[in-house]
Amino acid sequence: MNPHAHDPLMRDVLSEGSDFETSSLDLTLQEVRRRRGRRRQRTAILGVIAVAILTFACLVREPNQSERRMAPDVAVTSPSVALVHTTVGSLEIVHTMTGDFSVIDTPVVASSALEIADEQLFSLLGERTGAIVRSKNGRAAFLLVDTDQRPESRPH
Amino acid sequence: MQDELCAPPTPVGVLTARMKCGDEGAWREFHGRYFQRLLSYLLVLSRGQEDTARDALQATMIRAVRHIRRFETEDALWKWLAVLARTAFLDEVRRRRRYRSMLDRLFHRESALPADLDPFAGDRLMALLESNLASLPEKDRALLEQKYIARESVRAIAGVAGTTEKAVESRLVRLRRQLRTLMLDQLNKL
Repeated sequence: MNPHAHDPLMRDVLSEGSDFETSSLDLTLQEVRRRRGRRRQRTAILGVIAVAILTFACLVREPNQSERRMAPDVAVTSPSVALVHTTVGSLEIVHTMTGDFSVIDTPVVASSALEIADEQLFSLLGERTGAIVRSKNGRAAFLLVDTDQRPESRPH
Repeated sequence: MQDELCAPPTPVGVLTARMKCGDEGAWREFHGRYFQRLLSYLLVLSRGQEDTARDALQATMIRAVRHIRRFETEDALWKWLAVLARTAFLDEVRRRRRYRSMLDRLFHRESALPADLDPFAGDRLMALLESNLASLPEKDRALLEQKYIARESVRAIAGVAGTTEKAVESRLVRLRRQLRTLMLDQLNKL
């Protein structure tokens, strides 16, 4: 826009006796503020919707392959070791299996183990018979009588 | 395309980009630059009907706020504003015509729409101002030129003329009102 020499005079002539220019500017700025407020409101609503969609998606989707818990690595593999199984009072007294076995080191999961008192342990046995044997070095072993393997009539 | 991307932003480009972001300073600057030009244009379109021109001007400003986009040149921005002003003016005329249609029919008067919607029609108002200024008595014209062309202060003018500042201010107000009345009447007769 090329400024004209008579622009100031024209401005004063047109605004003579009124404050229309000021009131027009005020109304224009009001509209600018209103538009800005609406834009902010729209952005906030879109943000809330996006968060809601993400939350919903996280809740309903299945864990993918990478998130599944991996089995622990095999820590030790011992070759040529025999497993011996002994049944008291049955025909088969000793059963020996040869072959490899693996010792698997599993992580300790605090929430998966519950420490209980001796009395609570015995109450879990019901009709079955068991005992806790403590040695002098502080170790303890829990013995449980297997009623299925007990001979009904032992010959004397 | 490459040239357009590499071209530095123009002042109008920067101003309109700020306006698009809702920058109040930019809107103040825009209003200061275009208020008078839009009012002149709308006064010509409305043939000197001040109320119509003012309502259309405010509607134009509101439309500009709602639909502003970036313009790289002064010419492109003004043409866009002229379109907004024209449509706002036509809407205003239609709105007013509904209220006046009964009177129009009563007096067999036609509320004609302006035939000329040239975006540079507002320049005619400046031409009217110049011709009316030229028709003023020498003494009055000299006073206006001292104030608006030579940019002398009212105190300096009063000192040279050997009168008071208040007397100079009163003469200036009277002359501006006289010019305004002449211009609006002439527009009305176009």
